[in-house]
Amino acid sequence: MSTPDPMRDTMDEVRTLTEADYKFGFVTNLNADTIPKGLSEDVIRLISSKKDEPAWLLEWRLESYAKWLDMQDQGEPTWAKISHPPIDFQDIRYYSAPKSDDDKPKSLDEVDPEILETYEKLGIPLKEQEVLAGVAVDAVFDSISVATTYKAKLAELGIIFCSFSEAVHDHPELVRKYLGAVVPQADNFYACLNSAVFSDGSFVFIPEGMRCPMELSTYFRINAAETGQFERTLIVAAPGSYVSYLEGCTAPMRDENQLHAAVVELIALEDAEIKYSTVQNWYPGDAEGIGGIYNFVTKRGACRGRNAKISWTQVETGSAITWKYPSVILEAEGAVGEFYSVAVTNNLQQADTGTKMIHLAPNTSSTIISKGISAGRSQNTYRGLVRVNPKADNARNYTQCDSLLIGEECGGHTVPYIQVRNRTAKVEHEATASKISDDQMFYCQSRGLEAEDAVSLIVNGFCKEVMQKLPMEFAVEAQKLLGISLEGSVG
Amino acid sequence: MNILEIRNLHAKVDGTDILKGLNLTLPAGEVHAIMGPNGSGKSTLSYVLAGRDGYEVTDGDVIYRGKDLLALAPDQRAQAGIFLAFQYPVEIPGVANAVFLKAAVNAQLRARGEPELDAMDFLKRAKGHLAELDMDQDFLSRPINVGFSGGEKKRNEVFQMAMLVPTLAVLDETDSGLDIDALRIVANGVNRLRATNRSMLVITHYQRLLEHIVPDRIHVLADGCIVRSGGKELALELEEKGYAAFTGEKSAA
Amino acid sequence: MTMTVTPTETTTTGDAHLEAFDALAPELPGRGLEWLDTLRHDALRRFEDAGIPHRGLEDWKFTSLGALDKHAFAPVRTATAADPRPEFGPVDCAARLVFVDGRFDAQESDLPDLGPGITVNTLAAALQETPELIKGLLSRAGGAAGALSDLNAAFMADGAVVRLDAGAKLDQPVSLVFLGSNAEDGASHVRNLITLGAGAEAQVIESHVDPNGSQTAAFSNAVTDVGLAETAALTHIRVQELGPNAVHTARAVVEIAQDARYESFALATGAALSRQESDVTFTSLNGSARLFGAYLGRGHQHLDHTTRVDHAHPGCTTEELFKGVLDDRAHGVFQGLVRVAPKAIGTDARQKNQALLLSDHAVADTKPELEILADDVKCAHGATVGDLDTDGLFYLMARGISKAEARRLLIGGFIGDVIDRFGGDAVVQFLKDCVVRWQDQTDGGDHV
Repeated sequence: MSTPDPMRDTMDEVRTLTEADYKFGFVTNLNADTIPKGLSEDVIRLISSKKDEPAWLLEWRLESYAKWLDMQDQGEPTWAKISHPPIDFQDIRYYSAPKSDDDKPKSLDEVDPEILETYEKLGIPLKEQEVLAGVAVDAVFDSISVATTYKAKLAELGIIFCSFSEAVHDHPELVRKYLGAVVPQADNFYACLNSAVFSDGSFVFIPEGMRCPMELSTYFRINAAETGQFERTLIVAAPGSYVSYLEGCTAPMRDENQLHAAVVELIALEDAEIKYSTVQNWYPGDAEGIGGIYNFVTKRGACRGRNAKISWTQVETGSAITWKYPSVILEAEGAVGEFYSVAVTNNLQQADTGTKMIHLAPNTSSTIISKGISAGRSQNTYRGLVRVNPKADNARNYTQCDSLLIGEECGGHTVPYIQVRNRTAKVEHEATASKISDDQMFYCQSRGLEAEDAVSLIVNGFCKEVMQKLPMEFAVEAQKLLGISLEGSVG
Repeated sequence: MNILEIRNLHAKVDGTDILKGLNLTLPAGEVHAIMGPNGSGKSTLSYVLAGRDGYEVTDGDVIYRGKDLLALAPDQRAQAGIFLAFQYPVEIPGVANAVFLKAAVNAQLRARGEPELDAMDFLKRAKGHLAELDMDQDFLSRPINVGFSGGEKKRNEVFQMAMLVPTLAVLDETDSGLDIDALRIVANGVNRLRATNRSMLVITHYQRLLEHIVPDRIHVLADGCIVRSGGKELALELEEKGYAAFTGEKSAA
Repeated sequence: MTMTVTPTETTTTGDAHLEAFDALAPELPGRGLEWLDTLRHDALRRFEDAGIPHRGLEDWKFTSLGALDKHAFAPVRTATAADPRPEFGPVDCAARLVFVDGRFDAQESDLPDLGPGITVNTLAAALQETPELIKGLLSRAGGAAGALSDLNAAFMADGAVVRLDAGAKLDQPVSLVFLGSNAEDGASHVRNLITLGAGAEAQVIESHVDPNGSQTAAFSNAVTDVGLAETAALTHIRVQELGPNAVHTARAVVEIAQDARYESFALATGAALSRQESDVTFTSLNGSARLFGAYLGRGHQHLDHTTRVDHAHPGCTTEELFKGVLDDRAHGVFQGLVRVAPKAIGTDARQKNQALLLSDHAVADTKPELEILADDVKCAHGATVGDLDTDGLFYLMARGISKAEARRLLIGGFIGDVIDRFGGDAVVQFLKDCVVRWQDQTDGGDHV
């Protein structure tokens, strides 16, 4: 199909224009929606104007950018056990439009068969495969109607669930109130960058006393293919409310953008509960580790009201580098924080992930269950902080970190920090590291299972406690995902 | 004289009412059994008598040897002659049985204005009781209850009781987890301690123990108070009919 | 015996150390030995480049050495004998070496002939009698990284050398006593070398103590290098019972050869700031290390135990148990790193740290760390922080024991447990006596 490409011509035009206009500040009135690579105040103004954002939000972005420039002078953070070539922040495109339908495959026949094979293995229904593969929307009639029905039903209940950009326009007072309330602009290097250039994400508000009737997973999955690289998500649960939110996708997601620096903020008010689950399978790079995605995410929840509860559940199998510490700040009496994690690394992947549980108020409790599985030549690190402040009477923490090492060339590391400043607290931490027992392997094989299937079974058993926390429809897929991620690691 | 008088005792744990108007009188020299289904408040009663934190008395009196027991701290109650044999004795690593027991014995002697035991006297007294309970000498140097089987822990409780010579002994499910032989040894130990100036409350779920430690009176505890009292035949009645026959009855004991 | 004390006047800059070194050098043992002079100079230069460790370094995150900057801590030129005498250690010893402010005190020491194959003498004497041997030992230990070890190498005034040839065994412990004097703001650097030949066995007790009631603020920095040949076994007790204003850093650098055993107990009850480090490397297969320790803090004490164990070879085992009791505003730190290299299959490493907080302002920081690059291993660590067990407290009180005494029994039991698990009769009693002294002082004395 060799029609003239109107997009490309316009892009050339744009490039000339913008390069010339950098000296003068704003670029206005573009037809096309792409801008050249690079980061500057102008780019940020452009992003903000493309989204038609109010002045206060542009200010917020620019403040963040200024702080990020200061941080850049000090250099990127290097304390985690991961290594990567320095990132050229000027070599990133900070804004790109959603693909037009012309660019999308017209049907699954046009999709890479390897990708389809993975969908099969994961047991993803055909229609959903179409959505995930980015098949042009009008060919997937059902999906749209499904999405529309859900959204209408939620709106009836007073539940706000929309994209972040939409929220800025439709509910500015809410966004303004809570944006940055848990992860302030200058919190860390990548969160700061995100605060300047965030593209889009989700905004959820559950009104008082409302129990969200559906897992906000089904809906979101339909839009998974559109996830941006600097995602910003904000979830607010009003007193007495409940929501379960699932982010991500078991299907392997490719993205031309290598750096993903998302920020997720959760706020749970009195007696509210937020359950946030993530299944992440970003492209990990080839067997030599080339080309994978860097997933540097700041996720934090604040239990701001009495007896509020926030649970993070994550299954991380993808990305070349995963760097994230979903955390909970237990600010009010009786608050509860939970972190359940399975992190799998294979080939040359690197993961440095964990959590921070900060006990600030009396009678708070936290539970951390982390299962790390390393194979190939990968490095998998659990890094956690449990901090009990002087006012946190009767704080309770239980932490269990287990590492499973498959093969002789990988690494499994545990770096917990435990800081206790209140004597009525009870903090317990346990960690183990071992390999898959020969006895277990032999038992499975003597019942007819092939080595890889045996590994898959045993690994799932190892991770059971965490997998049980996932929304049911994803638990099954996630289990299969574990098996697939460890392909080639045994034998 | 009555060693113990419990009048209209109400107590709650973790905000839940467990004892709801319990009445009980225990004369000197007698052994009374308290039987009841799970959740009736048996252990709560023993903890309230021993003065454990977290067990809140909301109404009623407990008079021990004519004085208000509830006003005393746990160690003061023990020094006054109360002994609780725990259902689940806790392990205390690093503290030898001998060190602990000598400290306890001497605390009591001090409270009574009597001279304390020195190491020799203590050892002499201890060896005698150990032999009676078929326990090894090296037990004295082991840390409290660490690595002890259920039976060993219970025998340790009875050994302590023999050493501390209480006026009121409360035995909380002393028979749980014991095989026949251990049960006999423990029961004999308890029976040896019967005296005219000593009383005992034997709390048990099953009738079996009462064949070895024959009570003077049996009280049925259900839903937080005593619903029926009777002689030792009551045990057989319970065995036949089960507790269901008695719950729902409320009596003034 | 009295001698005068004249600490050099200094400022707190690197130049101060250089000046102090130049002034002191003529008196340091081994002067004139070219290799030693070079070693000292190189170490001093490395120290000046690196500076005193600060909290920006991951390893020093929880512990500040600000006290070293605050006081001049110039190396003490001559020492004052200490009065009144504190507890020295077990009465029955094979030999006892006493050092005051890091200088050997022959009068208080006892160095009998221990028979063939066993040498116990001072570093100064060994440098005169067997310089080549000492050169070999010090060079091997030269790799001990860190600014404080370099400072020690530059200024080491004396120390003990314990050498057992293959097959030699000592039935009784060698007692090394490092006594503080009243030299205010003085610094002493001692270097000990312990070498056991194949199959040799010994017990060494290293005590750092101050005279009873001493309030002196002095800095003591000790490095003990331990080399164990195949199947050798060493029990190494390190006790720190210094006065409440002292600053103390100590490091044991240990190499364990095939089938050799290293058992260490580090006890800290004194000092305003104390850090006891253990750096253990397995140089061959099937070695074993038991690193135990206890720290008891009150007032404003800061007590730090940091261990690093390197499993570079297969089949080695590590067992670590550290317990801390912290009262008032004391701050206890435990950092335990276990590193397992890719080929170290069959490694069995277990580590446990338990901290007891007795007051509202006590602080515990724990960082047990595992870096594992081999798969066929068994590694585990556990950490707990909390107050006294309420069940245990109730059990004791329900037997008539007063609350205060019950607390004392539980605390004693908590630490007694780690001492019992370590084992070894003579040593156990000695360690428990230290704990009793701390408890007596804590219960009886005025402390904030």
